[in-house]
Amino acid sequence: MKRFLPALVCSLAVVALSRHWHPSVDFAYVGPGAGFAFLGSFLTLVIAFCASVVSLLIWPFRVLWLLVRRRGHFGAVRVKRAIFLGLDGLDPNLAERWMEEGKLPNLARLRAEGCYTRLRTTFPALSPVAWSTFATGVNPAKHNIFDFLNRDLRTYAPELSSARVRIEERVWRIGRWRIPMSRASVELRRKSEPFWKILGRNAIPSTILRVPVTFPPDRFEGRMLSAMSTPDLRGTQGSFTWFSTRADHTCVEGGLRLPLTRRGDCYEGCLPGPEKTRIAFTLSRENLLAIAGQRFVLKVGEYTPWVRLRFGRARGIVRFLLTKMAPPLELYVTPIEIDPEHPALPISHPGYYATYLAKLLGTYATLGMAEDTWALNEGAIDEDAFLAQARLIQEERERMYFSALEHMRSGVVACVFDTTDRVQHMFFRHLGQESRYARVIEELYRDMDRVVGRTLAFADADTAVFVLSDHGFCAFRRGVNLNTWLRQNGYLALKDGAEESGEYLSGIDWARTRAYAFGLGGLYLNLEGREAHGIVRQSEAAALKAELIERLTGLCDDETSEIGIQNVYDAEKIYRGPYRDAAPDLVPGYAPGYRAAWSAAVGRVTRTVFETNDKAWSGDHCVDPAVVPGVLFSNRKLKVANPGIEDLAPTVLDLFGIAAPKWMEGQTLCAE
Amino acid sequence: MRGVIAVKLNKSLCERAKKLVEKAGYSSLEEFIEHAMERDLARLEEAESKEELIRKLEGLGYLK
Repeated sequence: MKRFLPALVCSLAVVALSRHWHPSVDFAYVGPGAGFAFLGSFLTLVIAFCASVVSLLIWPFRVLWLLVRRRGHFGAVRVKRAIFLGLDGLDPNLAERWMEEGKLPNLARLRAEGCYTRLRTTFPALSPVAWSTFATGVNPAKHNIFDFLNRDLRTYAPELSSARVRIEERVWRIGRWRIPMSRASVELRRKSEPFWKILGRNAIPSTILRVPVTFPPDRFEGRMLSAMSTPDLRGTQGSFTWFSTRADHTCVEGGLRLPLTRRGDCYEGCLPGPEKTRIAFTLSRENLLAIAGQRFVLKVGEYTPWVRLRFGRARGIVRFLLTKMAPPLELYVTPIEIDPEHPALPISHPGYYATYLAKLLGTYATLGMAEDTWALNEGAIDEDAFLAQARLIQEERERMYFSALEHMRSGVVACVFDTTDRVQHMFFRHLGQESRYARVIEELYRDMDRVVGRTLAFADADTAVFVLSDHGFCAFRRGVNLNTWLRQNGYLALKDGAEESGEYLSGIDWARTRAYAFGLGGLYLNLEGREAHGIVRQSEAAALKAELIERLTGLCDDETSEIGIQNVYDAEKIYRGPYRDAAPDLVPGYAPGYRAAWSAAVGRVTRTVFETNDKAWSGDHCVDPAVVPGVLFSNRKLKVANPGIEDLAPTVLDLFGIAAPKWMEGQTLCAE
Repeated sequence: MRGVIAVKLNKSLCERAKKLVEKAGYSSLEEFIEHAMERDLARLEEAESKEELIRKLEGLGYLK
């Protein structure tokens, strides 16, 4: 081998030199991929450059067009910006008490420098009703939202009053072939016109964040992120999943209780998604959760970050929370919320706005009522875990809200924080008690005061600020089942002489029923020509209503000797508008401490009229609207005495120099 | 605009309707026409199954 080595080196050197001195042509195939990639990125730059040039060239015309659109109200404009900070359910009694005690310095400052008043709410005092009135400036008979639920007049079945999601079957025809397609159609059932659409038509942009009853979002000149009534991926209003190694798997309200099964060193579970899809996961001894190729180390009492999951074509987000180590090991999973980066349903306007927010500020809860009150009611999570969840959601919304304020040059920003409502619902029982949670509501109010303080930093002389709530709050100790009362007093009959009915009015003998209660705030006559099996003639309706008002007003709870119903309102006197047919005929005004019983809310007839509420959900506002007004603070002096929530829409139009349309009922609160 | 279609209607019928829109409390002629259609559709369309409607309400904190 050593003999041949010099010869080999020499021959290689000769070949190399000969190629150097006598170059030849080699052929190779270069694919188009690299070229496309290079030109593709170059094309993006060219398009961006062209768009910038075009934008610059048309800028004077755009400004001119904007001035033309704003010409009608140019001289009358009072502000450049308006901010609505909605604090759902902020109660005037508590706010006033804590302002006096110096615990809410920013609200107190706003009161001293601007104004403060109690704000009249709607009939009934429910968030979807009141915020719809805030948006449109009209009473419920003009915007069609009277409760959380609407009744189907053909079947007496309940449906969500604010939005309807349906699967539409369609067929694509291509020549001889037919391709069946289906898609979700979403319909907003709030009628009339919100103020942000009117502002948009007048070239005044708005950013509307999480104002209730905005799913699906309105199409208008501005940006909107949907809120209350946005469903989860399972199509419900939020159903959690509760995994456990315990053998007995009882049913739970508002969620699913499922097993964790032991396999070797791990536990295995399966998370059900929409339309029978499932995602399997494992949980190791070291609390390592493995799901859909992602791994998270779980700690007891600590939520994971949002976990992205794909169920077929739909994408969702969840958080996991290990609530208990063995025995039994328990794992809570939040409802599967719509992933804002890839929304399965329209949750923002423009459609990309939800994605933009997620990319800019991190992903966030999209569910209408994201704080999981049922999980706390059912014991899937404890008070600390509920508060931690509410805090995480609050932080996400604050990021969105303050980002919107930072980017606002002119126009309106309206944002509603509903943590105030959810936490008061769940912690009212601790208020004034010897409990480690006794100060939770006070701390919540102080936290909201901090948000008010940060908001005021954005308010200059050209900015109007309104801090408002849609209703107040009170305790919920006793429930009233009006259907039971109606049966006991001969207005409602059950089939086959039964003593109790099933859910949602099943088992009612409509041929012998003259009146029924439905939802949280309504009493209806079984009216001939309106209800499918109506028996009350139009000519008898007024007398029947008068009789019910007389007998129900002052209805006494024998167990406590307290008045349960202090007023009953006739729809004729409180509603006027084209959607009166959907309205209740009577609205009971429950006394503080009382509300529609849990059994009544789902349309069951039971044996007792009054029942004790022993759930964690211990505060409520579905009472006589006169006793739960909201609050209104502003940095402007306001003029109207006894303002109502319907006055805010005409007020903001007036601030921007736009006359309120004639169908709007509220009055402007701005002083001349 | 996406999700909206234009429909041709008899002009005199629309004129009659326009006069009543404000009086009835609607915000526009479109809202009035949509409401009239919805009322008739509710009578003619098949109702959604009660079970499915109830399932969609699951998780609504105020109920149950």
